[in-house]
Formats: sequence, structure tokens, C-alpha cells
Amino acid sequence: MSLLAPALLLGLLGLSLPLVAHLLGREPPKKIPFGAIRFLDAGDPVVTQRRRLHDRLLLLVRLALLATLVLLLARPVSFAPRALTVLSEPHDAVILVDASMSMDLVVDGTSDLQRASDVVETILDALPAGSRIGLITSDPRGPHLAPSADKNEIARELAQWIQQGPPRRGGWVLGEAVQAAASLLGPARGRSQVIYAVGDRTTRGLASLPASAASDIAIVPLPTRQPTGTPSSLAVAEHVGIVKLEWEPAPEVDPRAVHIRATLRRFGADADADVLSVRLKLQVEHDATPAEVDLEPGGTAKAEFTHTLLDGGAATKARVEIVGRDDALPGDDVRHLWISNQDQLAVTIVNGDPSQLRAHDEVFFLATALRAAAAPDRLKLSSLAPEQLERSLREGGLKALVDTDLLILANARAPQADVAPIIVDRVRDGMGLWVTVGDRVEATPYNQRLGDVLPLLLRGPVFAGTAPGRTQARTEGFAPTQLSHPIFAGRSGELGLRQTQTRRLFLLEPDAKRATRAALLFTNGAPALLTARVGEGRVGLLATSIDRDWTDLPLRPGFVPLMQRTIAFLGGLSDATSGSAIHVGETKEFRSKTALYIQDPAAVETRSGPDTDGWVRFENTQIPGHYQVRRERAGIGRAHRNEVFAVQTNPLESDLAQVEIPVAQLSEDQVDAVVPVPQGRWLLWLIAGLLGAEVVLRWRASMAR
Amino acid sequence: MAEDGALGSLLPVDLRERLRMSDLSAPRGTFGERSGQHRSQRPGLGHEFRDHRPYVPGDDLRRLDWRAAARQDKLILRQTEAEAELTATVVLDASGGMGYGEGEKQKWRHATAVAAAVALVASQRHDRLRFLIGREQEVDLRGVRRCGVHELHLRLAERCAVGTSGRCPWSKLLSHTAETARKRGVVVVISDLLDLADATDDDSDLALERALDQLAMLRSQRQRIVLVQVLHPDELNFPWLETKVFRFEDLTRSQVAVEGVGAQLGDSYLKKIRSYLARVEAGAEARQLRLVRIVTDAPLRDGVLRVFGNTPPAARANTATP
Repeated sequence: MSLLAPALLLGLLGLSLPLVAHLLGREPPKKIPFGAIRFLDAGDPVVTQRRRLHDRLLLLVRLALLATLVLLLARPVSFAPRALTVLSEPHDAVILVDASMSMDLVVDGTSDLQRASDVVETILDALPAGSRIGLITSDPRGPHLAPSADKNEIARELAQWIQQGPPRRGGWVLGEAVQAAASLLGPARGRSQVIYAVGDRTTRGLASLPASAASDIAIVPLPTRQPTGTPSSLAVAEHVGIVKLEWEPAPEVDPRAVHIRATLRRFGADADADVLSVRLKLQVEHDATPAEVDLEPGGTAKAEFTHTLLDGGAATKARVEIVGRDDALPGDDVRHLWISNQDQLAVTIVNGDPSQLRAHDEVFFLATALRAAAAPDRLKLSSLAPEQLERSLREGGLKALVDTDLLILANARAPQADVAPIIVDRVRDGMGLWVTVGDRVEATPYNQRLGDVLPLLLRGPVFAGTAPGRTQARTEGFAPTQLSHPIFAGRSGELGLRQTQTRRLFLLEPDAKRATRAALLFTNGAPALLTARVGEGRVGLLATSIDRDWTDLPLRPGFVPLMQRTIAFLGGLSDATSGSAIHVGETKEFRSKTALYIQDPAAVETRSGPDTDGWVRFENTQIPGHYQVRRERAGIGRAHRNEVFAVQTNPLESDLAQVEIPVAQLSEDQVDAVVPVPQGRWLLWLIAGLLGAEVVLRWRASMAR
Repeated sequence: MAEDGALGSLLPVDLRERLRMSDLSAPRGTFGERSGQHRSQRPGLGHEFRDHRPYVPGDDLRRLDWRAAARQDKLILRQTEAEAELTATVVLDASGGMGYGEGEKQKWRHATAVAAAVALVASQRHDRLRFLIGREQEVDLRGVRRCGVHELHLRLAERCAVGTSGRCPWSKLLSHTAETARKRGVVVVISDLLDLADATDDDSDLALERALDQLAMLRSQRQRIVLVQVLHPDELNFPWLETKVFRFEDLTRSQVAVEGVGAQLGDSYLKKIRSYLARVEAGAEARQLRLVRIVTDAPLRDGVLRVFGNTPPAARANTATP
């Protein structure tokens, strides 16, 4: 421990003052009001000056009080290593600050973001003269400052962004911002380049950083709390968050009733901690409903609310929040969603190969998977034979499909040429179409009649292992899921399809002109599940069967979520009310030929025009809450719906499990920065104790007199 | 009764019961304008036979003693003792020194109790009551003016409730007492008698002699004088006989404070006070003044009763009666 102001120790000389004052002091005589004072003689003057020390304990306490005060004024500090390593030679650097929601974690009264600001100041102090420093955050809307010699600007800009910046509720991964930081550095020009990344030690924070941004750019991770290697470095602050919020109709209660379920999780608590009672509140418009759940350490609990909507037509704002708790991470204590009792997806399944054996019946597997959905009542399933579909199309034309949100051709032969254009037109108007192949599917008729809307043209079925050069494997598995596909939005891990054994599959004709996105690929690289936008509709193509004819996909654990998500995506459920929740910072896309007016939770309406490809991309989703979309012109089909969506915090940001971050070792000369840690707190306690003792001793002395 | 209510706050209930049968006990007959319960020097309208005398014209024929007239064959008038009232005068010292002490040991508490007891007994015997109070160098004469007995008691209680302060103007107080005294009566002087000087620089012995002389003059006017000296045990024993330094401040605020080592001050003080008290006793005895000394560590009841002649055995030692 050392002192920041050692000169103030001269104040200890002042300790002699009370000693001298005590000795020179005159002992006050005890006053006695007396009636017979006439008989008292005023004798010789009485010397009452102290010749020896009285009240030695009191004097000692006062001297100790004075000494402690002087020591406190001298600002004792200890220099703690911050695992903060900077290059000793002048260099170019960019400070990358984690701006995700997890940085709002408050520990000991200070948020991680504020600590990050302190770390930045330490970096600025430790940088050698001649260095140039820039600033960037993982928040795309945060400050971008190219490297310069002006350190004050960095500190000023960061402080201003923290104080006045937009709410940082995003789930940005720190590692994804490294490239932006590297581009901010620019060319090396003979100087060393370093990215100092400041963030928390979560998997989406410092643990997401690559080893280096480029061959000549070093990345130095700098945690905001506890230097690496300290005993408590991996301790997680306890907090409670709402990690999931969903709803479903409750027709058994009332036609207009809905169940709203909130899933809470308790993070970071010790295993032997007591059960925690958490109070919740559901707010639907102006109605508030309380609830309380008990949370085991590290456990989850669900709170279910039942609410009856007054207005059956419009989507209604709902919000669930944790109340009465001073949570360490307040960002995930509230979630928003839209609820409605008219949000139902009409799915028509054309069963091209009905079978008495369940293992060979597509509808059986499909219906079973959809029944396991969280809200099966929101799906209105109907099954038709191909002939029935064609007859209704011939009789009703486009109106036969106007109430259908998604048409699934499950191993069905291609529709007849006279009705296929109706399906195509309906798809262009917004209906979803999903083609799953099988023995009944022939490439040529499909290509001729539905080729305009298919993601890729069909080539023909093949058996696995018959591709040129492939002689060993007789089945094909699925490659890792393409989590970037909108079907899997919000999903962080594998679906459980890697072990799928597909014996037969349909090869597709490559076509670079078609804008398709692959959600699933076979291990041989062939597309397994493709999607494409056609007009205002979506079309999916599964290159194998959904029964057990060609594959064991229906037996895999990932089959159920795959079916549910694919149907919700193709049917456009994610564009409607309940499925319309996105995470903060994500881009919300709308298919529209005209401009959209999007109102955010702060009631600020933003006009967003369509791109050249007919898409409106809304990126200003920084504020969690309810958003409403107003179109200039309503289209056909789903477009007539009141389009709304909710923005929620990313639940991945709630998990603050700490990851050990290795101390960066720079290849060149480096210096370890240290920061002074004030040690005056215990002195304050000591002063308080001495003051109390002084009062007690003084009182006792006065009573003794 | 209203007077009981006013004076009752100064006297405990049991003491009031004991005082019910007490008397101011005038030793000889007393003159008075109204009928009271004390024997008068003049024959009057009493019941007790006094003497016979020959009838002279103008006598009340109703007072003729017909039996004596028959025996002596001339008109004989029957004379009876007139039961005239007694005038009790309370002279109360309310100087600051009388406020010394705490609670039941406070000198003022005992002094006011004695004053209240005199007033209560006087009212019970239908006697006339007057009181004079000296404080702040002023004499409160409101107790001398003519008014009903109830109002007089009320005034006494109010004056006692005011408390003590300043110095008592003894010369002026005793002069007023002498000027307003009736021919025969009882004058009860209640004080600690420790500071009878009019000014702070007066000699205490001379002041004592002067005051006693004034009281002796009153006695010569056929007034019965009762000196009630109220003292606190601290004034007799001086409990600060220590080596610590004390600062004694005058309760009358007329003398400068005295500061010194307790033991040194105490030796001199005790000698002086004992000498002074002896002079008080001797002076009172020489002038045939009844002196009742009350020390406030004794029960209030005992001290008050001793004023009326009911001396408890244990307290006889503190009583000096000429």
C-alpha cells in the first residue's frame, strides 16, 4: 500500500496539539449553586492547570482519531494489477467496448459498462507517448472514432455515449465487432496495431474474440471485473431474468382468453442459497395481474397468467415484468409481446401418398409434430387429397386458397396444369407453399407447372452414396444447421439433426439467378431445405420425405422444432402478432412495395421505404417494447393484418457464466498497467468507531465529574 | 374548600388531618374586632363567666344576673369572656437561598409547607391571616390588604408557587410587619436566617442583631414571634470536603462566585456557620423569641408540626425554644 499524497502525513505533527492543549488546559471546576455563600471565604487563587495527563484513554482515542484522519487525507491506495497489458512502444490501437445488455450488470453499485469506462481510462493512461488510439463499440450505433493522438476525445466520447447514448439492450457479440475495429485501424504503415477489447467474460463477450483480427493486429481482452486469476474471478453476480415469454389461446376458459407463460431463471446463485420468491406483474393495456414464483438457485420457474381480451379483433399489448426487486441485471426483467385471439394459421396439407401405415404417412408425422407445438390451437390444419385440391381450385379459383396461409404438398404429384397457375398466383400474393418430395414427386411436371415459384428446379431423386466418388456411405446426414436462416431465429444450438440418415434425396438444379436460402444441407453439400421469397409469399422445398420412406428424419429430436419453425416461417406467422418478437438490434424485414410507417415504443413513427427488391428493412430496433406497422396500401391475404411486432432483450445476454480469459501476451515489449485501488474505506470505519468511542468516553468523564 | 384546594398542594393530606386540631396557641388574651376562638383581654359576648359588676345605666339589660341581684338586692351585671380573633402574620423569606435543595429536601418546599400550615390552622380557627413575602429586594404586600379569607389563601398559594429569587429586604419586610401588626397576634417568620443583610457588604452578625432587635420590638407590642429557620443538611455539613476544585455560585445572584478546593473552603465554612447558628440561638433566646429549626432531611410532617408545638421526640434536639 502506498499514499497518493504522502506530503499530507506532515499533518501528523498536529498530534502534538491536543497533547499540549490537554496539558495547558484548565480543569473546569464543578459548579454548585449554594445558598450560604456568605459563609464561604474566597481563599488563595486555585491553580487548576493540569500537571499530569487526565483521561488518558480519551486522549489516546482523540490522538488516534486525528492520526487516522491524516492518514485518510493522504489517500492510501494499493496498486492492483489489472491484467492490462499494453505495448511499450508507440502504436496504433482501437478500444473495442462491449455494448451488449450484459454490460448493464450492476455489481457493488457499479455497472460493468461504468467499469469498462474506468478500464478505458487506464488504457489511455498506460499508452506510451506517440500512440494513437481510436474507439468503437459492439453497438453499431455507438461511437466510431478513428485512431488519433487525442486521448481526451476518446474518454469524452465514451462518457457521453454512456450517459446520453441509446439504451444498450442489444445482444451483440463482441467478436463480431472485431472486423469493424480492424477496419477502423486501417493499414499498418509500419506501426504495431492492437485492439484492446473491453467487456465481460461471457461467451458472447470476451470469450467470443478471435485470437487476432488479422495477421498483424493483436487483440488484447480486458475484463471489466476482477483480474484474471483472482479467486473470485469466475463468480457470477446473482440475478433473475425473464428468459422466455409466450402465449396461446385458452378456448377452454373463454373464446377470447389467452394463456401467457413467462419463464424465469435465477442466475449465479450459490447452490446452497435459499429459495427466492420473485413477484411478477402482467400488464395488458391498463390491467395488471400479479403473480409470484419460487426460484431455486440456478433453476427456472414458470408463471402462467390467463387473460381475457376485451376486444377480440385487434392485437393487444402485453408486458410481463419482475417487480419489487433490485436486480443486478435489470435489462431482462421485462418482456413484451402482442397477444390476440384471432392469430391463427390455416395450413392445408395435400397428402399425395396416404398410407395405413403410420411410418409411411406424411400427414401422421406432420400432424404429430404440430400437435406438440406450444400453441397447437393457433394452427388450423386441414388435409386434402390432390384431387380434392384440384377440384376446389377449378371451382373456386383464387378464392379457394384465400383462407389458406400455407399449402403443403407432401409427396404429392404436381398439380394439374390448369390449376397450378392459381397456386402460383396465390403464392405471389402472400400464401406460403412447402413442397416435400417423395416417390410421387416427378421433377418434370413440377418444374413445368410450379417452376416459377420453386426455390430451385428439381433434377431427380437419387440414392445416397451414388454420387460420383462416393462409394462408402449409403446414407447422408445433415450438415450443421444454418442458424443464420430466419427459420432458426433466436436459436443458439443444434436442432439435433446431425445424425439423420437419409437414404434417398432429390437433387436440384443449381441456379444462381434464383434468390434462395438454404436452411439445411446434406453432408455432401446438397441442399436439404431451401426457402425463397416469391412475391409476398414464401416457398420451401424439402429435398427428402417427411415420412420414413426416404429418411429417418421424423424420428430425430430436431424434427418437431424443424416442422414448427418451418411452417411458422413459411406461413408468415412470424410476421403476425405472436411470432413477431425479435431481439434488440435485429433487423425487421417486411415485404412491401410501398413505404411503411413504423411506430416504436416511444411513439415515434419512422418511415421506411422499400429497397429495389421490394423489401423494407427496419433496423432501428434498439428499444425493447411494442412496435406497430402501418402500410400505405394493404395487399391481399395476410397483408390485411394489423402488422405489429415486439422487440425483446436477447435471453442469451442473461446468462453471465464467466469464462476464463487468458492474459494476452503481446509479441513485442509490453508493460503491465496497474491501477490504484483506494483503501480508505476501512479507515472510514475506523474513524466512525473512534468517534463513537470518543463520545462514550467523554460522556463517562462528564458523569464522573 | 377552596382554601384547602389552594393550600392543599403545599401540604400532604395526612398532615392536614393532623393540623385539624392544632392551634396557634396565643399565650395570653388577644384583642380583636371580631369574635374568634381565642380568649380576649376584654369581657364580651362569650359563654365563659368572667366577673360580676354593678349595673350602670346604658348596660344591656339582657346581661343582668337576676340571681345575683336577688342575693345582693341590687342590679348586678354578669360579665363573660369575649372570644376575640387572633391575627396570624406569616413573614416568608423567598430569597434565592431558600431555593436550595432538590425535591422533598428543598428548603422552599418546607418553608411553603409551614406557611400553608399556618394559613390552614388560621382559617380553621376563624383567625385573621396576613402574610408578607420578601424577594428580589421587594416586599409583596398583597397578603396584607383586606380581602376574604378564601382569596387570601389563594394569594398565598400563588405567591409560594412563584418560587425564590434574588435577595430578601429584611429591614423593609420587618418594618412593614411592625407597621401593620395588630396589638396582639402571632408573627411567624420563615427563613433560613443565613442572610439577613440588606446589602451584600453588610456584616452578617450585625444584620442578625438588627433583625432580632426588630422582632424583639414586635414582641414588645404583644406579638408572639415564632422564628422558623429552615436549613438544608448541606448547609450544616458541607459535603464537598474534597481536594477537587468547586465553584460555588450564589443563588441570590448578588455575590460573586467563590472558587476553591472543597476541603479548604469547608473547614472555614463549618466554623463560621456553627458560630453563626449559635448566635442565632442565643439572640433568639435573649429576646424571648421562639426559634424552631427545621432541617430538610427530616420528614416534612415533623418540621411543620413542631411549629405548632407538637415536637416529635426525635426532633427535639433541633428545636430551640426560649
